Formats: sequence, C-alpha cells, structure tokens
Amino acid sequence: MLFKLLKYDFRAMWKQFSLIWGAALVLALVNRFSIFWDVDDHVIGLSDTTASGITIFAFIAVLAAMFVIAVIFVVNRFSKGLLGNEGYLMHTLPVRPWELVLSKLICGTVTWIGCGVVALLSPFIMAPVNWLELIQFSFWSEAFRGIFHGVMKHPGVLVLLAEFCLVILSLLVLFIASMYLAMAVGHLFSRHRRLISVAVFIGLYILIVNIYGRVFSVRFVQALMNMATVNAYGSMLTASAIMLIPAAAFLAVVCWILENKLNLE
Amino acid sequence: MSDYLMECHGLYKSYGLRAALRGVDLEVGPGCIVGLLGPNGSGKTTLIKLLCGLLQPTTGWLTVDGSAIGPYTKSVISYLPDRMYFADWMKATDLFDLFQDFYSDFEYEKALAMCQSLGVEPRDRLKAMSKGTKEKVQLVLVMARKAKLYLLDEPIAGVDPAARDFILRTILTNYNEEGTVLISTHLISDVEKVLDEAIFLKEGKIILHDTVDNIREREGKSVDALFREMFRAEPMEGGEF
Repeated sequence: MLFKLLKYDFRAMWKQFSLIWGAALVLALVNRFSIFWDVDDHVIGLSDTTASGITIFAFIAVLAAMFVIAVIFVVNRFSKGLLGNEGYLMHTLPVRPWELVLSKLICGTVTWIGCGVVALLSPFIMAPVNWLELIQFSFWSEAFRGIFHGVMKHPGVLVLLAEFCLVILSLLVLFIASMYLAMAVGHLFSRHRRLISVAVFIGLYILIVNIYGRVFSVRFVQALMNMATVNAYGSMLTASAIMLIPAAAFLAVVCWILENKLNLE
Repeated sequence: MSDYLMECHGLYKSYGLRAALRGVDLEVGPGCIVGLLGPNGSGKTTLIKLLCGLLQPTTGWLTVDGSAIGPYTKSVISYLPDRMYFADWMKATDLFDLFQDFYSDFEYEKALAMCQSLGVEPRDRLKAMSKGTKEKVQLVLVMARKAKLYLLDEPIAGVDPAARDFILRTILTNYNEEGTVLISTHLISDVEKVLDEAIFLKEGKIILHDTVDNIREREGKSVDALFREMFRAEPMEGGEF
C-alpha cells in the first residue's frame, strides 16, 4: 500500500515541480548564452546588457521561488492532505497512518533533494563551457579514467561522500519530521492551530538544542562520542544518528496522534 | 461472530467540554437502508466520522463487520462526506484510478457508466467543474463500490427537490443490496419512502431505533410526522408557528 500512496504523492509532486524545475534549468541555459558569449573559439566575453540582467534576475527569482514552494509543498501535503479536507479521503483509505506519514515524508524529502539537484546543476549549465568539446567521447573517457584512478587510490572518498549524503538526508528528515510534529500537535487544538504549530516548531528546536546540550555534557556520553568520532567516517555516522534518533521519535508521535487523536471536525 | 454489521456500545464523544455523543448503543444488521435522523447538532456526522475512523471515541467501542475500526473496516466502508475531499488538479479518472488501487470492490466500468448517465465528463479537471458536478463525481466514487457499509452524510442537503430525487435514485439503483446504507439527514420526507429502519438522534443520544413499518404501525403516523412532533422547537414568548 505504501508504494501505491507514493505513486499518488509523487504524481502530485511532479505536477507542481516539473514546471518550476524545467523553468530553472531553461533559464540557466538562457543565461549561459545571454551572459557569456563566444568571442572566438576559446575566448568568452561577458555581456552587460539589460537583457542579461533581466535573465539573471529571473533565474535567481525562479530558484528562490522553487525553495519557497518546496517548503510550502511539504507543509501543505501534510496539513491539507492529512489534517484538512483531503484528509477525509486519505484517512478513509485502507492504510495505516504510518504509511500515510512515511509516504509524505519520502515525497517531501525527494522534493527537497530535487530542488537541491536543480540548484546545483544550474551553475554547471550556466558555465561558459564548450559543449561540443565536452560531449566528445575522448573527454569523458579521460575524465572517467581520472576519477577511477583517483577512487582506486583513495577508496575512502566514496564512503565519505556517501556518509556526507546521509548527513544531509538526516538533516532534511529531522527538519520535515519537526514540521510534521508541530502541525500534528497544532491539530490537537480546536483554535489557533497554525499559530500553535509555529510555536511548537520553535519549541522543538529549543528542546532539541537543550537536550543535546545536556546529553552531550554527560561524561559517559562524551566517552562514547570520542570512541565514535575518532575519524571522519565515525563523525559523520554519529552526526546522522544524532539527527535520525529524534526524527524517529517525532514521527512516532505524529503516527500516534493520527492513529489515536485524529480529529477531523 | 455477531450477526450485526455495525455495533456501538457506550459510545461517548466530546469536543472539549461539549459532548457530541452521550453513550450511544447501536446495532445494525446487513442488507438494509437506515436513516440516521436528527436535527442539526444532534451528533449524526460525529457518529459517521467515528465509524469511518476520522474521529476517535472518547469512551466506548464500535465495530464494523466484527472488526475494530482500522484498515479492514475502511476497506468495506464507502463514505460520502459532507464536503469535497479531493485535490483540484486531479481529473475524475485520476480519482477512479486511486480508488481502483486501494479498494478491491471498486468497479471502474460502473463508475464510467455512472458518469455518462449523470452527464459528467470524467476526463475534465475537477477545478473546471461546477460544485454540483463535483458532488456527482463524489457520489459516483462512493456508489461504484460494492461495499458492505455505505455511510452517506447529508447526501441531499443543500440541493433542490428535483436533485434530491435524482441523488436518491442514483443511490438506490447502484448500492450493493447485500450491504447496508446509512443515510444521515434531517430531510425526512424525502428519504422516508426508501428507508427500512430509522434511528432518531437527539443531543447525542439515540431516542428511537426501529423499523419504519413498526414506527408507522405503532404511532399511526409517518416517520416524518413523528420526527416533527419529537423535535418541534418551542417558540419563544409562547408564540405559535
């Protein structure tokens, strides 16, 4: 059932973001030709016309809008989709609340990752690179050969990269889980639900910082941390665990609220 | 296993300090059309939402087809809420796909046939449809299922008398006859002719639950007339209606 839920969540996500992701990438490409122009084969000139200024502004505006929409999307998919009118449909489907929450969480995380990928990819598209040279096979074979040799010499780089991605992922999950819990707690009140949700979100942040501060000042925990973080591999795994443990606790509370305290008045 | 399709015992639900249901005991068997009748605020919608799992009881318990409310009961209940519950970017066919994915008793072809007979174009976006057309789509979604229990919350409220007949006819010609239909309404005269049983709900309590034939025989009047008598509001200052 989770996969069926994901299918519809991703369809909603694609409906909303295909256009904005496409617009960001197209504007990046337009900027490549409006900002940088080829003087001759190997010299790139910089344009300073009003048109290029407008396209840069449009590109930055689209990127900013993309991240704002991504946050609103994650909030709305949960608040309207599970706690609003659409909740009348979602909560009458023959699925468990944890499946509904997990589906929204996965979709929200992928959405933010998608936005990050588009934001990272755009500068590469904008860069004044000679694409004709770049798409030649010899370039890629050289590039891959270089990367392969580098990785063979230092295989730990791949592990570090994977762990770095895991840290970023854990951070996103913790952030989304905090938002879900704030909205779920706000839903328990009959009035001022949004205001209470914002207050709970701020409260959760303060709570986490305080708990971390207290827990990590305990000598036994410090000893454990020292053992776990003797190298970069251990440090990043520990950082992920530190973020994922409260995220799991938050999500468990969200599921409990939806299972036992759901109140679609 | 119990012979009843739906059972509630000692059901109590409050919103803060305000009690919406006060100790409801109810048993309803399969294969009948039941009217859940009561004035506004009597607890009809609350009872239906509890059966759907959209609300949790404060105390008491309820079962549908012998199971506590959960994924199984949701798979056998077809629920028509008193509001629109779908995202506007969808088409009716998207909703049919969704229902087919999640409910094994959803009949896709029947849904398309119902759309045709109701004059709904299923490939139109919902945001392009009128409120009435959206309500028809919602009705199609509910009645194209071969459910064990249909929970219809005020299906004829807010529509003109001609549309009421039309909606009731759609329900009667499409429901699974082995299942039970629970219709909540305060428009008794419109539904009385199709009801097998009537439940009168007043201030969160069941004050009458009997077959329509028994009520007519015992009281010597229609269910509508009895309802008006039981729920007549006393005019202020001793005036008369």
